Amino acid sequence: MSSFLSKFIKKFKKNAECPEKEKCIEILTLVIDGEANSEQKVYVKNHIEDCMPCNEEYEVEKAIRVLLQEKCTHMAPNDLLESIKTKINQSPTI
Amino acid sequence: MSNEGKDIHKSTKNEKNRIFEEEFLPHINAMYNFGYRLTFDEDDAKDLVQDTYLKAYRFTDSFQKGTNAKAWLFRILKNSFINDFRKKSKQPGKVDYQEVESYYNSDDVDKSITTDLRVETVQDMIGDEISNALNSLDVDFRTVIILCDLEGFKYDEMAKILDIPIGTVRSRLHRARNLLKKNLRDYAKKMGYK
Ligand SMILES: [Zn+2]
Repeated sequence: MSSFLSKFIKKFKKNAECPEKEKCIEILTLVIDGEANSEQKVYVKNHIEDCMPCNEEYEVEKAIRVLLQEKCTHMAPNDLLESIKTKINQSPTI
Repeated sequence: MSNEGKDIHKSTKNEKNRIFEEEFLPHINAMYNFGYRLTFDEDDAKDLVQDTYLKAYRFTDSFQKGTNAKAWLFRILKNSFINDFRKKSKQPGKVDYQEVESYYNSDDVDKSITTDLRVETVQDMIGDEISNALNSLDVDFRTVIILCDLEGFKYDEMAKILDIPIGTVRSRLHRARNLLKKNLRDYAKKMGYK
């Protein structure tokens, strides 16, 4: 029975609103930021398994970060390091 | 006597160079990216990073060994940006730090924006959408996203870099992320995603 029931519950919950979404988002943000305590980590782990809206929110947050890290990093131009080293060596205050 | 003094000076200089090479220089890419995201200009970013490293070298003594060198460098860069760079290139129409602060301490931005963004939609954004969304944020919001989501600084480190309380770090981050998601959702709509 459990498989049928859990499918039914999942389907039901997919359209459901999370009753404490505000609080959930705050805590799952802490988890993603690496700032959550163990209690908060357990809460998120248990909660997002069942709560579809929060599950989606969690995945969206993580996907945005992956995207940021892939798309929003520029390497320093090659000559910058050399020019800094040269300036330091010329610096009269050493 | 004078010889001893010389030795001490020399070892300090070696130590200084060691710290510079091993602890400061490895962060050059992250620093450049931060500078570039603040100024949107490659030459300005280079100047900013170079200034930061020269200052860092000059004030190596005030760097506490064992603490986070990257956070220390980011703090110098952020201050250089505010004090030197922004003053020089004060563009008309640009908002001031204080004005911005009072703006996002108002209630209307505090409300959670329901974004309805889907994971698939975000993953499909393989072009410049995310970069444009980030760049269009106000500098203070942009900064916290860069520090936290790109560079992985912790809240307490960000508080030190930005000279603001941790509570402000968290609320600023919250708002910044809501605005970023709002921008992404607008792109998604434009592109015809559901
Ligand atoms: Zn929930």
